[in-house]
Amino acid sequence: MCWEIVDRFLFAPLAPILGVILFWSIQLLLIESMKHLLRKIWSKHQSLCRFTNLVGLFFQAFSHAIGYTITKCGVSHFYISVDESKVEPKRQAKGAVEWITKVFLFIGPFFVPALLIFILLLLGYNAAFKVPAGSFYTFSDGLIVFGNSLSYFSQKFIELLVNLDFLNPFHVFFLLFLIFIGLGIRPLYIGREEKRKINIIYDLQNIKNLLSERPVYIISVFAFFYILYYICLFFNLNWYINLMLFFGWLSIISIVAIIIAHLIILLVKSTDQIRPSWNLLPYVTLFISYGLSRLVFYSLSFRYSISIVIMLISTFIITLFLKRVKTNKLKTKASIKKLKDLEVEEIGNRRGSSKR
Amino acid sequence: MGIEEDLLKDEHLEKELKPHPFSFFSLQSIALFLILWGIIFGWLVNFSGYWTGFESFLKDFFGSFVLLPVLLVWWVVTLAGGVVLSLVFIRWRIFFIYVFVLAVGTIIMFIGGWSNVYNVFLPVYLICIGLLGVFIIDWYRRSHKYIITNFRVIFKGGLIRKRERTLRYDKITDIESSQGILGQIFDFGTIIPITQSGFGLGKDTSFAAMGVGGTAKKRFGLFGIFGGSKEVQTPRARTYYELHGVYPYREVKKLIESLVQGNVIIPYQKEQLDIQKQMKALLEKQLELKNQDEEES
Repeated sequence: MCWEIVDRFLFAPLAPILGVILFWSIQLLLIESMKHLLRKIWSKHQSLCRFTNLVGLFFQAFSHAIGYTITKCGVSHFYISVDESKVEPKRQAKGAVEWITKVFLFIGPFFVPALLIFILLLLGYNAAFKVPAGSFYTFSDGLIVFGNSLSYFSQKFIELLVNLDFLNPFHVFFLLFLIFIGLGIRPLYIGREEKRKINIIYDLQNIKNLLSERPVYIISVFAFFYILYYICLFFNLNWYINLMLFFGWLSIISIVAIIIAHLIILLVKSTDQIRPSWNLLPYVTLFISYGLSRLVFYSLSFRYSISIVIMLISTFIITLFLKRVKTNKLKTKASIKKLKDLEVEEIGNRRGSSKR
Repeated sequence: MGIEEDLLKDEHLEKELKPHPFSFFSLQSIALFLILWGIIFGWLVNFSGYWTGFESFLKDFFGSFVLLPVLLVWWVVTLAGGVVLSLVFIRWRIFFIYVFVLAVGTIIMFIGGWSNVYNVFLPVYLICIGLLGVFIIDWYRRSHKYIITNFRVIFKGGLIRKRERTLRYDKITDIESSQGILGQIFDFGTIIPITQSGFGLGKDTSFAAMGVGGTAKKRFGLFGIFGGSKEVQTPRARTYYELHGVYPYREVKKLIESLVQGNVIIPYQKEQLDIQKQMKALLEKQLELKNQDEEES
């Protein structure tokens, strides 16, 4: 009985918070992986990297400006370039206001881009959002309710994506917007050249500083969550879980957007390894396979999803095949690989003999 | 005629440039809008489920003559795009170009007897005109040529009337350079050399007017207008008189700056003065030594 009370009043509110932190961590890892991929293609695709950086900086500056606007500091200077962004307030923020603006700066870019997609979904596809009728009572209950709602949303969101009709201009715009969001969810700081190495450690360090420099504010935020939870608990309201679900939905949207952006960057990276005249073939396959699938499966109800699947598979196979056969890297051929190994061995021997 | 034939004695080529393909994007967007709207319109009329409902709604009002509202949608959206682009670029000729394009399209459709296949003709016409626009703009871009030598910059351009400007580095007083968002992404930018004569400068004019009008019902009438305008000088030149959208921007900018610096006369004169001072000091020293020798002897 005593444990039940502790669970209900102390641990239960933490369940959705932990859920949000989990999804946000996945988002952080995926962003890090995208940065790694972009760094690899930077020398050959500087324009693409500059573009992603610009989008990331725009969202960062936008989040910062929202922070200043909400806290009534006002924005006196708003500057964005491919290298840096700068937002200056009209009135210098101090104390809690300063802390809130920092929250918007450091955490905002992870959620603000996804918010735009969220608004689009809310307007055009609100069936994806299922909210629980009332509050939850235990830690495990909280996790189940949070997990169920997010899994329902993920399922519906993926369903929407695999049923996109690429012959419909609005669907194409939606996908392009999603890719745009995915590419720019966080600035990479590799505009003209890599000036600052911003990575997961930098992000976490910033957030850690934010949390540790003003512990009172963190306690206040937790107190707010707990009070909101208690109110919801006593009146059986779903406000608390909905607030947490909102962040969960944003994280899911971001994760999906980053995964799609990953596919694009991987395709670019793979085509770089194919011989120049052949490296356009995967892109051509992308369009032709989709068009042909739509023609072949014209009368079927699942024509959209099957066409997307065929498009993805055929592009993957063609890219893989070209990477093997028409590669501009010599190391994939077994005989050449052996030769390379022999060369390495020979160099090693020479070094060994010179030492002696 | 090759570039070598244009060069003077002891003149050598530093760089030959053309505007970047995206540097005329503002002009290309006028044509791209037509292509985009053509695609959307074609999809809307031929494949969209929304249009079926809209068409039946139209039939209630216009009977079987659905072509009129379809044309209305085609005209209104295109002209709305024209108004937006005209306001953005502050060039009303874009709007009138769109009016001309639409009028020609409508006339061709009726004269050619294609009104019964309007669902194919109207979008295809827009896409074709858009593609033609993109082609002409790119042709115009390709007509530009900037030749940077150790003596001067030669600007060449123009589709039908060929224009040319030669600018010597010692005549350049200022260099204005700018880079838009696309320029920052694709690393191109515009460099405007301004001369002592003011070539490379334009004017921004803003005008404000206020009017008061009032008529009393029977005997008294009053009308007055007050106005004023302001002019600001700003670096501006025709695309064939500036280094428009050159790539790689920073490298070209640095080259121009260093060539201008190399041709500035003041450092050269200063150097000459220093040499003369040194020579004078040497002569004085020589004279001093000679006098000393004479005294000793």
